[in-house]
Amino acid sequence: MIDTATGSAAALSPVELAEKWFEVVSLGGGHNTNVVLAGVTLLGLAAGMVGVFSMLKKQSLVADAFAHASLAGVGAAFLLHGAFFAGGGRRNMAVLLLGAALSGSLAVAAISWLGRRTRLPADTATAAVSSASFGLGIVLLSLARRISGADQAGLDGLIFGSAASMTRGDAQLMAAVAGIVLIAVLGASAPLTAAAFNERFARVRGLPVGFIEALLAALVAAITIAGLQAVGMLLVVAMLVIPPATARLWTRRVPGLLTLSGLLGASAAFLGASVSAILPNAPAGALIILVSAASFAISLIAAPHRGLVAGLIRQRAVRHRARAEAHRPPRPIAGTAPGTRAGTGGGTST
Amino acid sequence: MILREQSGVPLSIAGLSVAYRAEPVLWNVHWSARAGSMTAIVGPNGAGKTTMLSAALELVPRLAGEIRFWGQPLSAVRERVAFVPQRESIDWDFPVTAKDVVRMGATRGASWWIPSWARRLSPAAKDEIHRADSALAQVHMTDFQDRPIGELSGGQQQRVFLARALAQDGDLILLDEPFAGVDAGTEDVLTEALRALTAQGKTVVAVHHDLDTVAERFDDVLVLNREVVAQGAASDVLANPSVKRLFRGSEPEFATLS
Amino acid sequence: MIPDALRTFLTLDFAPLLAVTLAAGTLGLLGSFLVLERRAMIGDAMAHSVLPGLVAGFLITGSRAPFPMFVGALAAAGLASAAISFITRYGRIDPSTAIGVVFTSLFALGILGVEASGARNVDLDLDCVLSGQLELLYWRPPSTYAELLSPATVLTLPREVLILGALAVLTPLLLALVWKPLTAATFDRTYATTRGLRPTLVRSAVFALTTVTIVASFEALGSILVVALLTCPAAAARLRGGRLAGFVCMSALFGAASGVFGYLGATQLAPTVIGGSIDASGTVASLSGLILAVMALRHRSRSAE
Repeated sequence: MIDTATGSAAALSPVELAEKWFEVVSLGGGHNTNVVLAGVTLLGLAAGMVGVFSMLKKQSLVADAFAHASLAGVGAAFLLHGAFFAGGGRRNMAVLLLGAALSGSLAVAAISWLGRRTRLPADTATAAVSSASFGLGIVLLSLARRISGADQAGLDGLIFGSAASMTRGDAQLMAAVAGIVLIAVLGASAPLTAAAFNERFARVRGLPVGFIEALLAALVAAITIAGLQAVGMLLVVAMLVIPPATARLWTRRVPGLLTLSGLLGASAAFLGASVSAILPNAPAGALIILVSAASFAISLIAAPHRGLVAGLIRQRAVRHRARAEAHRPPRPIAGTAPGTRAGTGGGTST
Repeated sequence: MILREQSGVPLSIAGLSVAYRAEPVLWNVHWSARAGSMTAIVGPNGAGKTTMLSAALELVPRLAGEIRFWGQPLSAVRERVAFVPQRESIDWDFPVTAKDVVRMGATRGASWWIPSWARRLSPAAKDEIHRADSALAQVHMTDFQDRPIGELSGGQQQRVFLARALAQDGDLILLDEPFAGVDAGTEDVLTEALRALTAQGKTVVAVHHDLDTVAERFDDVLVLNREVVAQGAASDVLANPSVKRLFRGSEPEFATLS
Repeated sequence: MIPDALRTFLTLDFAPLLAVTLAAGTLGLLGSFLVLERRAMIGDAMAHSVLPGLVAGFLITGSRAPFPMFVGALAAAGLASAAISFITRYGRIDPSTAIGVVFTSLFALGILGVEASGARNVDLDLDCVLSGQLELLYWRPPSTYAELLSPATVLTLPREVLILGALAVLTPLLLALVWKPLTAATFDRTYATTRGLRPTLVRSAVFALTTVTIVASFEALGSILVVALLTCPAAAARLRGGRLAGFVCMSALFGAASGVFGYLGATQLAPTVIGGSIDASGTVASLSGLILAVMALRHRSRSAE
């Protein structure tokens, strides 16, 4: 995608950069750039929406373990097809991604197995499995290099993200997966909400909770795999985590969360990717995450109900009221003013 | 200022208000514990019972109000105040034995910084071990003292926690729901141990959830519903129609009262 | 005279082996408290957050001088853990989500810094971030046994090894000093507060030491290994049951064993089997995971009792 930016950006003035950015944003950056931009934006939209359900189920970091563990699958696939890659042929992204999906799923299964068998806290199991399997991935990669002498080019891209090295086919694949996930989320949002909100209730109502959970896991996996190339396995979880967390600061209702989180994810992806297209050496994945992080930070401070500023103002008010009343001991309610005041709590001085 | 010259009152609270963020949980509470008595703090869910104990122990910040133990701030009399927290707040998988837990209660001052293998060097250690052992015996847990805490039943865990407070040998014992979810045998053991304390002139204050048993187990009652609804001798307070009205239908366990 | 084979080993492998083992034992020891406090993911987040600190230290001083980068990394790790507790507390967001937000943001900042600053050309390579630079720990051993065994020789070891050695000595000492208050604070924080033990202070001291150890280990071992050693040995030791002291020691032992055998396997065994060494950090991490897997398989699940 950075093919439009092979020239040194350091030499460009801010005005020139702005013009260039405007060109990219108005889809004048070349067909390849446009496909990647559209794919990443779609991915951001889908990830933002899927992430809402992960967050509601407090499973935000399962995706992180999935992504870390996917390296082992990439390494294994790389090893098995070492000769093929060494032949100088085009890297077979589909095979690598298949390996990634398999090992990621294995890791998620291992985490839940540890949880069921041992009572280890969930976060310990998650951190242990994700780091150990990532280590295994590194070992497999070094083994592959040792045995086949295969070139690791493109694999760094999967770890740290490299939208720049995506082919049009890669981008189309990413967009297609994101599109399918999006349709699935929109279609299944009611049962997903029910299962995430109150699992037991959903079960009683006859919803196939097991199937819905598997569906959510599959959607998270699809997003993670689709985002590996553009964002990288160490950061892709952020696309699932930050937009929902930001949306949570503004609204509590699920439809609002889904809309807002999707929009935040899409706009961060669009902004990050387009800026990356005009700046050399500015990886799209990192920029997307940083745009997201900025929107989170602003929301944390300024959101109307849950924001820090609003909270401080309300807290000051209630403290003031409490101090004013503290030296007037109220008569016990019982026996004096029967009944009605008991439930009103602190609302006595207003 | 209201609370000075109250060296005979184990716990006195004046104008206490506590908010969770900007939501008041406790509003303008004035109350004193009677020395040598057993008081139950009762009230519906979310009435601020636990919060009141937490605020008294300076575990949560307060918006306003003054708290005194025997007329002094908590920091001056910390060792005389023992606390038994709610069982839910504990990680029961933690690798300690019952004895380890009770020893924590017996440990005082500089002993915290002396490793257990160097215990013999400390003159206070003998006394600590004795206090821990007799506290375990008092709740009938001596036979289980080397069990990991997670392998004990709920009632046994609660007894260990009471033993930890007993081993501290404080003069005021604050308990948060000591009778919640324990077996009948444990209920009797706990009641007996607490009665033994008041017989020695010590004061017991417990958050309690079961209105049916308040009158038989406690001398005094404080009814909270964010504000003080009623306080006084158990029989008087429970006979009060407004108190009955407060609990009617609010929770199944309280509904039996009406 | 020292024979050549041993000399080669001492030159190429001794310092890295020592670094891995010291770091692994210390991280295993400190990780046991993180796991007990259910803060394993915070260790993970801090290890990832070290990167922007290193980059900042590099950018501000313009050199790869160790001290500013160490300070930068420490500041970044501290910032990460402070931000996580801040967001959890004031934003009312569940801890795992807050962790996900913070460490990805900081890591993204670090990657952008490495790529955009030109730091990459100066060997702040992203691969080193993952697997460290064990192979750069190179030592010129003395030529006779007498010199080798003299205490002064220790000081000729690489700086990283000396720092990790100091931490490996300091950590057990500090833990022994604060043992009882730390136990009380970790087991039941509320109770510890009511006894006037300042649990926050005690835990912060241990947590600060953990941060320093993470940062000191990061450069040599890389981020994956740091996270794996903070969690896997402690999780494995946790499955053994028993009392606190035994658990903590077992965790340190599992860590050190992963370090020794993982490193020797990757650098000594692998060449004879497959004709070349494999990534040592990755092997140590995998081995620690394997220990956890074995312990979990041997574990008698409680429901079966």
